[in-house]
Amino acid sequence: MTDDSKLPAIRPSSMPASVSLSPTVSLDLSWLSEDKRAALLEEHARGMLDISRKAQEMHVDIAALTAALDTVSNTTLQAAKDGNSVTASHTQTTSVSRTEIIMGNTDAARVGKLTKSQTGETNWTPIYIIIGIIAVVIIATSLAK
Amino acid sequence: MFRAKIRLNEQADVDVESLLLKKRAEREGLSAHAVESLIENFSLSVVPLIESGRLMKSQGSSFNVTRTIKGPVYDVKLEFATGSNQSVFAKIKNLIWGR
Repeated sequence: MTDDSKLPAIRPSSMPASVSLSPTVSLDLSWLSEDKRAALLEEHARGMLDISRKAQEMHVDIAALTAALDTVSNTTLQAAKDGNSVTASHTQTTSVSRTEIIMGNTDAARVGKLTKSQTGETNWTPIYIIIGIIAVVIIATSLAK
Repeated sequence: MFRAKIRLNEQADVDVESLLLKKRAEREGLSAHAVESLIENFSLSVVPLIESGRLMKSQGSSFNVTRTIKGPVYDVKLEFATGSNQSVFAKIKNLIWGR
């Protein structure tokens, strides 16, 4: 019979010996030293906090987009019911995606292509045309002299 | 036949626009009854558009509506636009031709 009082005391560890990767999968960490386990668990916790924050941001963005699209569709429907020719568009960039929507009862809405002014982009083509015309006029004037 | 083309946005004042249209219609020789009918139809069309336009503008959507207000002696084309950036050509056109 062994005398237990002579064996080295085993300090009970409060450090978890495994980490949950998904509801059904967990990773065994019991083979790691306590320090390494602590570092790994800290990193894991930090990662989980990041994921949670991103999920919250996405949730807020999606809720805002849903509300905006509801408003666009209801307003468009009402305007069309009132006997108007209506084209409504909405462009929104969120942390999840970029959404471009056009609706209405006009040909432009039927084609479904947003113009640059509707997407909020600047259309430089007219500026280039105007600059080209000015350049031609200046060259023609200087040649005529 | 009184013909007019009116461009409005969400900042339009219905009373002011109605008064301007009334003066134009009277100047063109429309009867008082016809003017009254025109202004009533105009207000009924524009008020909901301005409300919708403000709502759409506040959330960054663009809202373009055209409507013809027609009567026996008048034909008024209404163009309501809000929220979208005007193209350079549209800005130049508005500068030259006005509202």
